[in-house]
Amino acid sequence: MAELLPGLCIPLLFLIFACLGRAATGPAAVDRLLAINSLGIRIVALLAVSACIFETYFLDAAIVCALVIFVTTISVARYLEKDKLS
Amino acid sequence: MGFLDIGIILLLVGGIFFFGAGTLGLWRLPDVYCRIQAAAKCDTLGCLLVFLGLGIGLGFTWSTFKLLLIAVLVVITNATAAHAMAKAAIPESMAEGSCKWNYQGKGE
Repeated sequence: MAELLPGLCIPLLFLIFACLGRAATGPAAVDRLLAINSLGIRIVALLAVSACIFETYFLDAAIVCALVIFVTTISVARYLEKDKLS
Repeated sequence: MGFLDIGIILLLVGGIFFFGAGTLGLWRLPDVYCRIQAAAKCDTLGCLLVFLGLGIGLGFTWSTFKLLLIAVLVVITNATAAHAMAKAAIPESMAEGSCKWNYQGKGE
């Protein structure tokens, strides 16, 4: 199984760059935020696959990446609500 | 290549398929709410399938427990983030008239 996992990383990288392009061309701020959230979930999956290829301490980086993406999304979404903060 | 490897490969390819479906919906759907729904649901299911395949491949180790921890975290946080983004999307789409459908209750 381990020799097939680099073939799994290439579509994930392509999808990460597709989400990055969506974040660059999104018309509204919520579209960009949604694209960044999807990009973060794909990065977490890519880190989990990399943990099975190289070393298992990539899983700790995956946990930290998931938490950072969640905090970023919640804080920016609360900032974008018009009648609460701004 | 045994029976278990074919199952693992099917799970991983299914996860990549749902990630691709989420990205396609992110590019092609016409509205912010449709994009939020497509991205949130497809990302959650694809992430769970990838983690399930990797966990079966790793066996009963400490890394599998960490994968389970990330899976529970992703299930909780993705739904919460989608809800927060949908609440953040309400006023500007109603104000600018970019909403394609008729949503009941707000702004009418």
